[in-house]
Amino acid sequence: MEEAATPLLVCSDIRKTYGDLVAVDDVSFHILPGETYGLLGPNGAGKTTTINIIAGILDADGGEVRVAGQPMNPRATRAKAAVGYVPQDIALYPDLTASENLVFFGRLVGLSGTTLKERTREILELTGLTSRAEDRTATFSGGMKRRLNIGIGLIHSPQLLILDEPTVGVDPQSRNAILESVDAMANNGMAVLYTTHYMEEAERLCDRIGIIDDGKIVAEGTQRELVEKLGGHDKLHIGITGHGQPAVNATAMLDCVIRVSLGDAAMELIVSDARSSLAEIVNTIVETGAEITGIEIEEPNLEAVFLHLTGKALRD
Amino acid sequence: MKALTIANVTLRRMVRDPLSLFFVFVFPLLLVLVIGATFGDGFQPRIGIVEGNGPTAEALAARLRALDGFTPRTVGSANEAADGVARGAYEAAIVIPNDGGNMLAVQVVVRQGSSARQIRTVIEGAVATEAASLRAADVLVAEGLRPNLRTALATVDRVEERVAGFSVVERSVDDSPNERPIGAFDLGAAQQLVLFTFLTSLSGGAALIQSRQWGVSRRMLATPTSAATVITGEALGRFGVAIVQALTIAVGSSLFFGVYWGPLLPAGIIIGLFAAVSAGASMLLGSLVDNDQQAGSLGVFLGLAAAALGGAMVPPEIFSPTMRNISHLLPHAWALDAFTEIVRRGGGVGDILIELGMLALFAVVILVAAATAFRKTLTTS
Ligand SMILES: Nc1ncnc2c1ncn2[C@@H]1O[C@H](COP(=O)(O)OP(=O)(O)O)[C@@H](O)[C@H]1O
Ligand SMILES: [Mg+2]
Repeated sequence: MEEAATPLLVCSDIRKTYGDLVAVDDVSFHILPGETYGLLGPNGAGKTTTINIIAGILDADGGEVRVAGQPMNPRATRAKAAVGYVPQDIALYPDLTASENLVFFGRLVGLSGTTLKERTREILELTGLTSRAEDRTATFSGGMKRRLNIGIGLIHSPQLLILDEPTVGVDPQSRNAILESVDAMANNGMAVLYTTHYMEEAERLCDRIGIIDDGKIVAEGTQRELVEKLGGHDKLHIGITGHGQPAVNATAMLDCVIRVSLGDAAMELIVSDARSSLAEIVNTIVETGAEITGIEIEEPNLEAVFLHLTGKALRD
Repeated sequence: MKALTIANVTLRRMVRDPLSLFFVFVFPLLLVLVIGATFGDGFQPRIGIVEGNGPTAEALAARLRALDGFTPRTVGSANEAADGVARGAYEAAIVIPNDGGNMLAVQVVVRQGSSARQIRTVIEGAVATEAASLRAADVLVAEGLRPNLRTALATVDRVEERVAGFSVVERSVDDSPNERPIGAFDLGAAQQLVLFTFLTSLSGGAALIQSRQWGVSRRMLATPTSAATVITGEALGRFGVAIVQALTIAVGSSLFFGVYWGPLLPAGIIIGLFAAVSAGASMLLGSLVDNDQQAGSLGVFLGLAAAALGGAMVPPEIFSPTMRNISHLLPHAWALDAFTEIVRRGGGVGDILIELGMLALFAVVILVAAATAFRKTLTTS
């Protein structure tokens, strides 16, 4: 292992309560430069509250946040300069144009003159809004507003980009564009904190994922690491023709098979490791005289991990 | 600098909205025109008249009253007439003495200034014309009584002895060298200015609620911009809206209807302070109310109510002393007093220190309350 880089963001035991409700319950994690960290959890898990504390919008009741070595709190203007914040709800002036919105927030993050002009042009390009730059954002589609919402967070090329559920209510095409640009951002060395309740997004984007529920991070790691916490069980779908029962009986005898069931022209097997035991299983089935029409391997996903850890589904 | 960026957005948004464009730039000036024309006696000068006793004096007064575009109000005595002119209640007054002697010396009381001189010329003309026909009529009547030439000549002689001639004498009253007659629109326009500056500001407080609802206020706080800067910026924006409204009325009414606003410096200070009060009220409303549409209509309602109570909707003479006291609980009354002083009496900053002090006090108290309430909306939730 190489020496770990200095984390760009460090959260230590941050805590926020609303009356009796503990919205954020001693959350700790860190993000390295160039790393994309996902906070995955259902609605009400405490993602937005956590992010608002990290962005310095909300005062924490306890714990500490450091961004680029600077302590972060609502009065910490130096730490805020390193952060690009993209709120969950679109935050734009609908009666101003796209470029006016960019220039406004650009000035607030300290840009001016030709730098501001140049960055505005670049962000319009990046978000695909160049042709609509002089239109009021009230006339934009939901996806265009989302893109501009993100673009504003990027105007000063922040070291840490914070995205709070940026794809909610977005058409698949815009969603794809957003995910791709976040990926590109991280590849350029930007640290990204990404919250979502879409497991596929976390899987696709994030180097590491923190699973959050009821204000607590219940598990953290790479997708692989999280999945291994389930015990590494994979699922095999094997389509067969002919008589299926002998095949089911035969495979059930195998050590690597935990459970097997027969469906409509298909068997479903739970195995400890699909890739290493596949050959043995296929041979066993063929020997019983059944004919295999197709094989599908399903590795456990974050949805299953979440279900396993919390007893709840990620989406209601 | 960032505060100005925030303030600038407020103004930009205001001029983007066609409805607010109409209500800020067109509607108030229309009202100045309509109210000036309806309640300001059109463009007729206000003339006072003192009627002497005796057939000739009464006949002259009756004929002057019958003239077109000339509706003088009866005044009790020559001294009262002079006072009225000095106070600006009348542009001029005509004093007709009692009959007696053979010259009736009609006085025209005016103040110095070009428009006063015009009025004098008009009255002189009117008096001369009326006097000539009166004399002729007197002669004819006398002639009818004495139909032959000898007696007629004798009669004319006697008529000339008995029937008075007229002379017009100018009497100037000067209270202050800067004294100026009040135009039909002048004081009505000041009422419009305070009414609309306050009302537009209040209903504009809804913009703050929108910024909150749209999440842009909160987003500003995620940038390296302190809450104090955001508050200052929003307050400056509210102030800008108030100033734009006040100047629209002041400059527009002065250009289009010749309204006089008094000397530049005191007028500017009154407008600045009243705009600050209005900005504070706007921010306070925008912080205490959560629904922008409610704030808009509440702003209009409160703006009208404050104007009515503060004496900006009716001529000040209508207010009883009690009402006058109550009206001074509102900044409107102080601003109007200050305008009256500088417009009617040509007062300077030194003459309106109390009014300016009260306006400043209103501004400070309301702005502090507004900033506190606004900060709360920024940092909670
Ligand atoms: N201002 C607030 N007052 C009271 N409760 C709040 C407030 N903000 C959030 N909460 C509660 O805190 C919990 C976490 O909310 P949030 O951080 O928005 O979750 P998420 O973003 O994961 O959906 C929820 O139960 C929510 O109802
Ligand atoms: Mg959320």
